[in-house]
Amino acid sequence: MADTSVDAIGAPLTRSPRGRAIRGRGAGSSGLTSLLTRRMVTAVPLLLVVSSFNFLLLSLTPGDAARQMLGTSGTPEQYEALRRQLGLDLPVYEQYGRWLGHAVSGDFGNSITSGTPVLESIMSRVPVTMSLIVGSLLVSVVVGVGLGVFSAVRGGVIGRAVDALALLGWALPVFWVGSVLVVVFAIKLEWFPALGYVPFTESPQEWVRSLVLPVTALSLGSVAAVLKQTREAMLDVLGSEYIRMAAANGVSRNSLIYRHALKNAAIPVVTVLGVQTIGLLGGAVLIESVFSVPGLGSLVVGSALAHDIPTVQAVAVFFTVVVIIVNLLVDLAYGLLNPRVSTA
Amino acid sequence: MNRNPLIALLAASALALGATACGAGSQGGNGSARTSANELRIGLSFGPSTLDPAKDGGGAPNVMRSLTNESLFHMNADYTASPALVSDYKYVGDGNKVFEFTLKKGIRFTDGSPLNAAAVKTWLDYFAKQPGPFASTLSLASVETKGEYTVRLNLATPSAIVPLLLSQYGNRGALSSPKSVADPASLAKGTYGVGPYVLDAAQSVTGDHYTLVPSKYYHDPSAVRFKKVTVRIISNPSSMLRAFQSKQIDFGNLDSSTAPAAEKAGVKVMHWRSGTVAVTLADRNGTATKPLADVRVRQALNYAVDREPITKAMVGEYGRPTSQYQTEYTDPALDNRYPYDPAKAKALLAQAGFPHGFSMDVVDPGSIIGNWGDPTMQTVAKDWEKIGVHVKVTPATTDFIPQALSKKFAAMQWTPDTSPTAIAYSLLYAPKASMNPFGASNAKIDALYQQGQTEQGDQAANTFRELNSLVTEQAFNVPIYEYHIPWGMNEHITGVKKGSWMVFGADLGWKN
Repeated sequence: MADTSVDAIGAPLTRSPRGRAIRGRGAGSSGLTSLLTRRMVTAVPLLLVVSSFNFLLLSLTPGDAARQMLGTSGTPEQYEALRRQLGLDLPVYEQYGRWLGHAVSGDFGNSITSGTPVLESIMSRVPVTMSLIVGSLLVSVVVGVGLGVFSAVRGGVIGRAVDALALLGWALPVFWVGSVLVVVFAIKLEWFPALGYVPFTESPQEWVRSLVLPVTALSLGSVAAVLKQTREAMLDVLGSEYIRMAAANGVSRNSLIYRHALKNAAIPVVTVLGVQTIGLLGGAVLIESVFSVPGLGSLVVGSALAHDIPTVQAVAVFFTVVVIIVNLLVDLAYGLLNPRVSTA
Repeated sequence: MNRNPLIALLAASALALGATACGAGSQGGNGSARTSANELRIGLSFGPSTLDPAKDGGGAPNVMRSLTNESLFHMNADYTASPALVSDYKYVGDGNKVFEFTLKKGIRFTDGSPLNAAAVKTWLDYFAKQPGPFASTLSLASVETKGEYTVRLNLATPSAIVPLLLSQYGNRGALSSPKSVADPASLAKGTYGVGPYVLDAAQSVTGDHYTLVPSKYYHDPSAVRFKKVTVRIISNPSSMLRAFQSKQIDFGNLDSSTAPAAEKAGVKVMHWRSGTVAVTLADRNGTATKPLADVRVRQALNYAVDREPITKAMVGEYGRPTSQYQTEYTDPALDNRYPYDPAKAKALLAQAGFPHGFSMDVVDPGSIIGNWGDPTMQTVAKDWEKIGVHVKVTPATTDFIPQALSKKFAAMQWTPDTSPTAIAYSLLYAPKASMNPFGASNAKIDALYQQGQTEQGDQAANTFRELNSLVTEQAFNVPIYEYHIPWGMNEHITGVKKGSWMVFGADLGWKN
């Protein structure tokens, strides 16, 4: 959480949870450019490490795609021929080198099993997973921050009740919550579909309906995390000297809470949101299975079981890029929320 | 700023959510209200690994493939095949090495190109060269065209089941157009068969759902009963159940754990024999595990298994105990060939010279295929322990086949394709069978196979039946139970033929 104190002139002095140095105002566009450049530079080795490690793990997994394709009826000769055809007989580093050579030019190849271009498969599923994740983040921000502030401001029994609810949200397994939601809201009440996804372009209303239950189930954990973080950060800030002074100077309660306290408390919350976003990528895998939603999670699970290395590799790269972007956005958000936190 | 902006935001979100739900309600709840039979919605536990029939496996995807790729022959429930796109056919000469058939005229693929002998040759040549699981089921020396509509197949080895191998079984009969064969990448993205429907790729997501729309070239418009067919892949059994309960699908395959709840929810469930869960005694010649070479030991392992409670626990009413592989030619009298008799099992072991039992390693497919894998094997192992046979069970999930072929395991527990018998021989019993890691052989079984492949009709049936009976007598396997696939459907669905190898989507109809 943020280290918040008061400097010589009475303004809150904030150190970001990531330990960013405190600088004067106006990091400006040069700071932003510098940040983007540094992020781009560090992204390259990160992608190399993730993709090579992922490739190695896949290669170490018992079994291979050739056996998967031939099933039980393939003769040893057919099996060896197919391995050669797929390049699976080559040393792992050579297979990775070939993959990398194509990947850097944007060619992620074809799925070994389905034969369809990997990039096409991924692009058809990105909107689904992103709808789930962005939807869950929105819910987390609105509900988590809302209840967190409410809990911190009200305190007492209500505050503790909200706190307990947050713990419950953490404790409940996503797939169980998903199943319960389906039984109640899809089967009993028939308000929402039990499974499937409707693209926004097909019907915006049905798109929302198809997302309500999976997003609710997926966001429960992150709502809890954001709620807890918001509550604690708000309690910290509300108890600080400058807030008391502002209150003594006649600043209105709403202005104190939403303009001054929440803005400062938001920095650690943004950090939690960043972490939660990355966690949601993992949670989406489960939720996509429970709700039979055609996202990247279900794609990567099926592909991993089929030893479809090109597809799994491409999804891993995509997820890594998402993580890099999320981290970048978090850094930018620090600067926006408090210009004293330098992005440089 | 609003007096309490957070409360306002929460209230707005709740209102939006409510409006969405209410709006949906006014349109028919979860969208399940059906006023016509315009759309058929199918749920399958797994879909095609690829849309290219030459590279795909069998099972549930055949429900969908039959809608897009009509076959040369139609597979019957008894594993015979009737002509479909073929007007007449015959084996030429003796020995089942030459097979000839003539195509019906005026038929087109879904891309508009005509079905003729050249198109069939192009497809069969392509199919044989692909690394698909069924490429080796027919050993073709050459494919000849004789005129515009007649095709002659010259086989490298005899086959008594060519019509069956040109049906839905094994996908070889699921022709695709010459244009698509010329561009194999297109076969992975679309369907180009002679079927009542064609894939609408824009409304499909590979591996998740497939939308099929009527083919404008289909030769029998009366068979196109729906304006749209959607096939959704629902791998999670609980999700499949909920799809039925929420009326989001009309037809689909359940499993033994979810079928009772589906029936309770008013879903009509039909089930019949689908396959056999068994332990294949791979090292039956005793290469590494000497005791297995003795038929008395193999029979003892059969007598030691209490099949009734295992079956009940694993599949409930969706299966039944059996002592033999269920095939198209089995002798029902042998279904209880090895009743539970541990005393007899011990006696047989003693007679074979192993009164204190022995040890062996078994591999199973883990829990990835539910109760049919590790749970069944662990229970069988406990029964064997009672007669002194100690079993080390290794569950293999992603690498079952390589493990089973590694020669580290004397036996494998799985659900092999045991029909048709001729294919089961190539899978299990031939000295070079693909799942015969120790190369175990039996001269009499080899001879029966060779004989059956050169015969036809009842003669071939009797020979293959004799082969299966011999396999049971020799106790090459320890069959445990036959399992059923419970097919769920709503009250409107028609065309499900009980006892068939597979429910073909093209047969499904709708009755209001």
